[in-house]
Amino acid sequence: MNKDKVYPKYMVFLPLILFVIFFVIPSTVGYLYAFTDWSATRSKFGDISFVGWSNLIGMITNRKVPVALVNTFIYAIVKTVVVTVLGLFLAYILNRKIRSRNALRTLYFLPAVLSPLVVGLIFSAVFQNRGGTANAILTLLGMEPVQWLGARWTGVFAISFAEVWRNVGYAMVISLAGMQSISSDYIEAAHIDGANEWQTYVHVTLPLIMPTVNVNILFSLIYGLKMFDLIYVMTAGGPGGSTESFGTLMLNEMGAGRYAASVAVNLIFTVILVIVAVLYKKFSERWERAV
Amino acid sequence: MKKIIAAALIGTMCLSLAACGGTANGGGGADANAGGAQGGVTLSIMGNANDLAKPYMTKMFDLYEQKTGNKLDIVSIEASTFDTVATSKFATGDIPDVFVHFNNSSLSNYDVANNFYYMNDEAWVSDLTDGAHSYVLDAQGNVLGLPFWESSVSGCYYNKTLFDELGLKPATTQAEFDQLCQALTDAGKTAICWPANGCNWMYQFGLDPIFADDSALLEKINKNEIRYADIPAVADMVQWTKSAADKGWFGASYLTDGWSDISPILGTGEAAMVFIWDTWFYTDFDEGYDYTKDDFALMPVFMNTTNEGTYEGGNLNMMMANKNGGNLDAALSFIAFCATPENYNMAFEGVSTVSCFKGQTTNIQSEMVTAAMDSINQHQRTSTAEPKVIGYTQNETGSAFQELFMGSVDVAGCIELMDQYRMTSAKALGTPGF
Repeated sequence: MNKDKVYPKYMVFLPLILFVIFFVIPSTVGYLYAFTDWSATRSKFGDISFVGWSNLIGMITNRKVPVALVNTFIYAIVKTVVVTVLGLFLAYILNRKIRSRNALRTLYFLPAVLSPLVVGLIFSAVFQNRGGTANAILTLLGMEPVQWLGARWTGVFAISFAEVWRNVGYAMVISLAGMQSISSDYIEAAHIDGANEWQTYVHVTLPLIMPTVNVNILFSLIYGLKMFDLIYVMTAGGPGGSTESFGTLMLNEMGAGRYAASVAVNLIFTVILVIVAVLYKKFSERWERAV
Repeated sequence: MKKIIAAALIGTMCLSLAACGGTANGGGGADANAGGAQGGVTLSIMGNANDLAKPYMTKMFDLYEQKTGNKLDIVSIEASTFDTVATSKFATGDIPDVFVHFNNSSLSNYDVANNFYYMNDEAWVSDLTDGAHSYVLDAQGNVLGLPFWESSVSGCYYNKTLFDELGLKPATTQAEFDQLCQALTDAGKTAICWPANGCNWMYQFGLDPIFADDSALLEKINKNEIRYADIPAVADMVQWTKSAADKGWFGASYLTDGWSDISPILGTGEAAMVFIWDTWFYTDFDEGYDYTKDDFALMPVFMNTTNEGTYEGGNLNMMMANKNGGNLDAALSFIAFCATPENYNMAFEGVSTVSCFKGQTTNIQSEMVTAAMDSINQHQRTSTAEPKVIGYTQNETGSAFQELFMGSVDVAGCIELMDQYRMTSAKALGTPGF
């Protein structure tokens, strides 16, 4: 054992202290506010008092929370599935020897560098009722215009579409990096053994890039669950709170001066995130072993 | 060597974290010594982006900077999310030196008593008109800020040229108004331009007659002795609104149309009427369409809560001073500067509005208001629901109306939501009885 490469144990204390001071304590203290009556008119520390579970019970029974919960999972699942599959598909295509592949790689990656605000504004224009591109296409095809951002499911679709558009290039680049790291020996050996393109992809390429795919899935899932900016720009959670996610719900509660209720939403959301993360970890470990 | 590098990195991290700390004034507080070349003060002013961009506002800001050499840091917040973003800023201590807000129920979310300076003793208070003075008072009679706004009459502005083309006349009763809306819809027009995007559903037009005409009712609802659901007229209003939407009187895209869509909708003649105030036509209405402001006239608003309709008295934006910031004196000086007759007369020159100040002489009264003065005198009510119903929210209740229009809730469900939002807000404000 090379002792030079092992740091002394005391080196862990300072980072640990900093982590506790700047993350653990503020987070814990922050969540405690969910059990108080902190609001716009009770913002001074001395005015705030504990009210038990009433904020959490109030939020669980609030009709907006189930809507936000369902929407949040829809945004996350749609993003995870579509972005991962499309990213893999584009990576597969652009890993082949085609003439314009460098230009296409750049083009597909371009949306990933745009700010969510810009993407939100672009797609607000695309899906807007007056002069929107989507409705112009529908009209051209002889179909009735749709109020894309004026109803729940069309609104959720429009937001998910924009999010997928923004992230697919990023997933493609990660998958492409995974594919390029595979030695051509494996592919050639598979071909010599008589495997066709599909069999080679499913039985050789995919298992070898599984860790990369897992990174894509994990990132998409986490960022999908935390989606806020695009929703805020495109619908602000409306109409009637129908496209709300946990992120927008938190801000809207805060904006209404109900700060403790906002923290209560955050606490519920954190618990859900932890459950999802633990489940995903167990699931992905099994999946990697199986593949 | 590695230990030294690690120690250096940790030190750098600590410094970065220390640099994240706010100033004593809060993030929004301006540095009194920064900026201004001559005066040396930079004042931060926060408000709704649309409000701060009004011509008389920008004129006054420019004049102040020119005359004093001080600088103004204008923090404009997008209109549809203004209260949401601004209250979040206040919650985190990001409070500007001067805050511009209406004296309505949302103002209570900004902890007025602890954050703002009462201006009872300012010299300009005696120059305020009676209407403007009464508008800027809190429940205890304190002057919250300087009213610097359009003190206009809100009502139903209709396209008289279009009415003439279609052979229609303005309504004088609810029944006539309903017939008018149907006739316009049958003629292929949107009867009322009422954009619901951003939840700015102005249902105060319906509530004002209910609460302004019966102060006992107002007292009871503010003591939580009754709810909207107990008032039949509220159900009449909500039912009428739903029925109007179902009949197509608001057009096809009112759920996704926003405030900025009003100009093209009215200007092209797509819609014939809008519930708004006259100054809007002079400050916000884009010229260059088929119809201009000269094509519009004024009649009362009808929302099925009063047979003869109603007009809403002026709602005023106020400039309030942050009493805990480092620039209180400079903020009060700025406000006094705006309240100087010479300055406000320059800012409001040619603006069509009712005066806020006794010495205001350069503003004009619009033809729309002048022509409807008899009707206004008969049917105008002071703005009551928005400033006086505790827990009144335009955004959240606007969301309840959106749910009604989408069919997520029925009329009773919408009223239940209106009550829920109102009572939740009143409770969060610490109102006794809630």
